[in-house]
Amino acid sequence: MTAPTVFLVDDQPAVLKALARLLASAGFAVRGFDSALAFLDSDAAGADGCLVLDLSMPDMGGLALQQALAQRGCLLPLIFLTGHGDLDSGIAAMKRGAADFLAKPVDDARLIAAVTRALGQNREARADCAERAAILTRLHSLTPRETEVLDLIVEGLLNKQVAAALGTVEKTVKVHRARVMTKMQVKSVTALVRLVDRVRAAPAPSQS
Amino acid sequence: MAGGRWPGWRAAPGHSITLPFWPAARTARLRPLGAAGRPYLRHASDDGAAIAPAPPRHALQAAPRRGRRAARPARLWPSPNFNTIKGKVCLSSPPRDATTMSISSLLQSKPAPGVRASLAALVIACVLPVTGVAAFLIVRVYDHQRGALLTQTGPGLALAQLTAGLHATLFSLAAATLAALVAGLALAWLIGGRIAQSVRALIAPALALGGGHHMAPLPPLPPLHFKEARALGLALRHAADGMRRVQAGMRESEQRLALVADAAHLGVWVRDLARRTIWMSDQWRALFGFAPEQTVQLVDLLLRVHPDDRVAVQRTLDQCLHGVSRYDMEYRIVLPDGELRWIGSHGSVALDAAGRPALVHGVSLDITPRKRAELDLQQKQKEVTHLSRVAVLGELSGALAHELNQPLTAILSNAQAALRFMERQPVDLDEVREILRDIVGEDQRAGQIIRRLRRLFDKKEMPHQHVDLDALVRDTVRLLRNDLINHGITVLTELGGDATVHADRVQLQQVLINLLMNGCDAMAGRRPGGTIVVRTRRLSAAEAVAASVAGPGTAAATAAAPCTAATATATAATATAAAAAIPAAPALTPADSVELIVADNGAGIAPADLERIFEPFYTTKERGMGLGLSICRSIVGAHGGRLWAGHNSDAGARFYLRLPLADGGAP
Repeated sequence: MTAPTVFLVDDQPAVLKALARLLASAGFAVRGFDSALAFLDSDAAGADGCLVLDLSMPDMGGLALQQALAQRGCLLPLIFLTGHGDLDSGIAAMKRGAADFLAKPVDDARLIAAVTRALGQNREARADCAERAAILTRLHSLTPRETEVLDLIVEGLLNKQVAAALGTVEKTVKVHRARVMTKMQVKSVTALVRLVDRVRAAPAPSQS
Repeated sequence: MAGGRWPGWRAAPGHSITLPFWPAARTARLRPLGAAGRPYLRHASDDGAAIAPAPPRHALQAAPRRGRRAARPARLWPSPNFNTIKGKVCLSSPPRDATTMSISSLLQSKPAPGVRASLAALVIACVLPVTGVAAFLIVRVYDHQRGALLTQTGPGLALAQLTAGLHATLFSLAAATLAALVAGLALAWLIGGRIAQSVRALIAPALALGGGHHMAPLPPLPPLHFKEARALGLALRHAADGMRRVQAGMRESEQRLALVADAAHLGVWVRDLARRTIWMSDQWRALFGFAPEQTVQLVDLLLRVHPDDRVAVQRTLDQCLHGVSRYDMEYRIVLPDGELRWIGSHGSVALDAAGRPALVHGVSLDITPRKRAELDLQQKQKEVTHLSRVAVLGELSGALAHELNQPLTAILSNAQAALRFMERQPVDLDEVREILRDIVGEDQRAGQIIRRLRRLFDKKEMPHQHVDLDALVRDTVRLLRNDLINHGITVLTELGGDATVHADRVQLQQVLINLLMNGCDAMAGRRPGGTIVVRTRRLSAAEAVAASVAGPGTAAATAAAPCTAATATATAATATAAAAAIPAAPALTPADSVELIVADNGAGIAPADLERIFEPFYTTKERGMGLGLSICRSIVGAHGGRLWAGHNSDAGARFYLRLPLADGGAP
């Protein structure tokens, strides 16, 4: 895993250069792009770090880039910069999960704080993502029958009720249940429920 | 002689003329002129009745007296009056004929007795010498015969006596002939003298008539001895009356003209180019602040003219000498008390027989109130133009703030980065130096943006300058960049104009902003990926004309808006000379021009609206004053250009802006 990078997208070369310089002075690794399309064309979307982008740009604006990245399941937290405090755009961006929304000209402390926070978010998100990927791997290792048993146990049914629901005997259910617990690497039903909830509550990230 | 009274033409009443050779019975009594100065003739004797029977007295108008004439000056022709012509009494409705006829009746009657008498004397004088000579010859022959007879025969003696008697008779006859000849010559001399006298007597009135003092009454006519002479006298009188009438008419019409000129405050003047003199009416003098008796030369007039307009006025006046047949000009004058006055002047050149300019007639009019109203209007229009610009900028304020934010952002970030770099040890001075350089550059950029904005907000009128149209387009697109981005609109520029126009940069940019923003509005919400194409190209004069003919919406495209904002004050004296020798007004001359097209792919404009969108307060937008395009057109019109709308071949609207190139053409 490479060091987290702050990606910058701004169509104004001067601003791009200045922001890159500022972030670099704060010790971040910075990579700049002069348009949203250039960013999408690069492999940066899958990298670690965060994305600082201008809201209004020709050809493809900040919001459009955010949408495109969301479709690609990118984990990069987005920090929007805008020249004029456009409230509607800000709300839209935040609703779609933007990490922050800053007005230009931006104070270095706020920007650096936001970037630091976003990088932390990214780290967490990456960890969360890895964990969920592991859970999913475990879930996928279950046989269809075991998955059925798992679903019913998570709903809180007793072995007897599960057996009745599946039209089998309690003993068989017990065996399935033991296999599920082993494959999911949990010792209690409570832990199992928590695992399943984590995966099912949030939409599964794509297999990038 | 009682019958020879001629009761005066215009002489004192009772003035009479004695006609010694005129039989009382044939004396024609000429009545004094009628109320209208129309004489009529009446034969007033027993003998005259045979020639011209006197009409019943009540039918004849009483001879008007002088006092009566004076009392009825306004009445040109009295009610139907009678006249005697060739012995008939007739109602003569056209009075002019009455006089003519009375003259002709004089001329058409039998020859004058004097002429007859002289004719008779002539006949006698011719016949008698002939008979005398014949008799003398006969006597000589008889003498010869008698000599022969005397020598021959006795009875010849008696014959000789007879011949002697015949001799005596013939000699007396010859003497009588001689006497008659002398008498005839004397008579002819006398009558000829009288004719000459009568003709001489008419010379003075004729001279008086021709001398130009028509308004003065003709001098009284001396005694005239012949009908023909009297007829001539009548004719002179008639001519004098006619001229007086014409003059009265002229004076009346002059008075009417003067009244009109006075009422309209028109100053009338005539400039004699040969004599270098100027005649001017009192009204004109009052207009230009000259005293009524003051001598005014062209120089005095030019000194009154406002210094800024003097050259133009001088030029226009000079053009009168070189083939300009008429001119209209407007200029300012400064009165001695310092008052400024606008004068509208119209002149027309009259040529002499050789076709050279001889006189310039003209009228001058005080147009100060109109001009003041015009300037007022221009001021208002300028304010409206400015307000509309400010309103547009208000709409753009967000985008403009964003535009200004870019350099500010760069500056702040650079400065803060520099501070951070300075905290590190060792300090990377090269990096800091570069940062500072960038800061300076960005600061300058911000300053430029502010200056551009301030120019647009500025109410002050900018002098016209050479403007590179392509650069202006780039500048404007850049200014609108953020607004365009916000609208999701791409602007493609195809700038091949490479042309410089003479224009107010700010106003021209206002037009461009308006056109671009209209394009944005047309595509707002409809097509997020809208595209506006801005194209410039140069047109030669011929192309411009061809394009004008073929181009869409050209019929009413000429900017006819009342606003002549910027130009009017700049060129105060707009002297347009319309003459064959001078080329037509510059606006009409097809010149090299540059065309700018702003095409969008929005909803387009309904054909019926293509012209209406340029009307004030007509708008197709939900929120719009409807002033933008109308102001744009008046701005373009004031720059001598045209602005009109059309359609793209596929979809969307297209605005055409055509401006004449600045002198010199390419930048």
